[in-house]
Amino acid sequence: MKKKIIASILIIIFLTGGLWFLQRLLMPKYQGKIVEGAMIEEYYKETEGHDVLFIGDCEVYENFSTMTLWEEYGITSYIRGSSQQLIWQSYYLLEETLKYEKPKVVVFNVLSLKYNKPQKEAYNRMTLDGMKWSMSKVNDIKASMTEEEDFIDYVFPILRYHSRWQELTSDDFKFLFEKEPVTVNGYYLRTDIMPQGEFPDPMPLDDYSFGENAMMYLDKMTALCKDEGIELILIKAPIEYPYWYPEWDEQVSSYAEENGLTYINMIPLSEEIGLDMSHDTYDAGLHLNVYGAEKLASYFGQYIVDNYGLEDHRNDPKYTKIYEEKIKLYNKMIEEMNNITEEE
Amino acid sequence: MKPLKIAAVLISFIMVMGFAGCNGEETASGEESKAADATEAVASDNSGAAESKAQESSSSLKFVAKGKEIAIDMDTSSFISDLGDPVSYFEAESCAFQGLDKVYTYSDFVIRTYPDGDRDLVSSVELKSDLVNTAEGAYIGMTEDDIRGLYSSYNIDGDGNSSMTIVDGGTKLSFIFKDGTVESITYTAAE
Repeated sequence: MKKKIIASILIIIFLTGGLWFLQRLLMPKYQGKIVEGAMIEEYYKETEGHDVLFIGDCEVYENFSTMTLWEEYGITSYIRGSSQQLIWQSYYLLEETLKYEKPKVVVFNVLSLKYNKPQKEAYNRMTLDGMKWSMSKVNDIKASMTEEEDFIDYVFPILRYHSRWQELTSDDFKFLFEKEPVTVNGYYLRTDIMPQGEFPDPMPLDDYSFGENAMMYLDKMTALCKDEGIELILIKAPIEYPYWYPEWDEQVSSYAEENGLTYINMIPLSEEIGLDMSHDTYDAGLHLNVYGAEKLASYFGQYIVDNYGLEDHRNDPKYTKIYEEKIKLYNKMIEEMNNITEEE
Repeated sequence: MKPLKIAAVLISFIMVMGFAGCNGEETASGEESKAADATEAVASDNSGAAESKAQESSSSLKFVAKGKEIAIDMDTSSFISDLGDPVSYFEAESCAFQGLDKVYTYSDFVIRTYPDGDRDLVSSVELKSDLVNTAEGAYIGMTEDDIRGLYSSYNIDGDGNSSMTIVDGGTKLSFIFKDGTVESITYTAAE
């Protein structure tokens, strides 16, 4: 009887272990051309908290150099960003992050207010797969799923990715248990340059109101920050495309005023920030490259130091060693990216 | 033995679900499209195997240009070359290399597309001058009454003070007014 039980346990361990291994193997590693799916889980490697937390889409994770904030102001910051991060995803990521730390300032980029319902599974996956399991993740999945998606596929990703067995590469084995960092404190840098061109005229809309669902999550975000005593800053990154309608801008301005929040639309501040969009963008104006992201961080860092009295941690032994390593990584990434750009 | 049974059921369930997914790939079902689309979209370096899950809008609301019907979610390859060269063309890489969003600007209308696997599907059509009209005959410069007359068989929301919208199938047709007349007409996906 005892032998039977032991054998059964061993079989279960072997089978579940095998399935777990297969699942890890088959899940995308996001270490090649598409790195955005690796960003969310990188956060869990952080060992110390941050004074500033950015949440949002590519308009935060590609546009603010977290290392410039450190080098110039001693600000510790992290960007919990992901591709096409929808506002409910930002909310649940914030909720989850607050279980690990309590930043003084939360910065949310408002572009995602234009989406009122789930959009695309590929982007959902890039945000949700990397989250650790918690009620925040459960609720995030529920809020994010498109009609074609099933909750069970998030619980057991192998159900979703099983067909990748035909496409496995050496990277799937190389990064099976440990991945290379793709960001520095959530900032994804690029060093290539492609000057901004002309954007098409915006399409007129029959209704410029943000959707109820999107606004509900902005309310939740505002309430959460207030409950936790955190300053919430709403920003619109200085990117002109996709178009940010004046009607949207007015709505966010009114909302910020009604709720005692700061809202900064950085599009008209481009010159003041010092951006030169013939040089400071890598994809014709959709995102900033590292030169632009450093300028923007320099500008914004000064603003939050002036207005939120953040502490300069540059001489704080708790952080110096950690950020020394981060700066090394940042410089290494710049160098590697430069090499790739030159090769191209 | 209870934990053993639970574990056995769990493992069986995972395996059954896995097989169900695999079987789906051998059919032309929606499951195939769904799996292939997600795999292609989220996996780092694969390509080519994806089948589209997007279905062309079943709406009767369509724009006609140069004799070609253009509908929301329609694959542009079926008509784009027939429209001739656009006055301007713009493309923007979606985040995380999910394809290109494209904007074809012609003299009287604009077509915007979104990527779906290897295809470009219509996300919106915008009529910009009175030299083109909807399939039902509406054009820029018409009044609210004109629109109501042309679309009397449809449910119309709104009025001529700001905008009127008609939803049919997966398509929303919007008439945006200024000073009592239609200033622009757009076809977009209905929410």
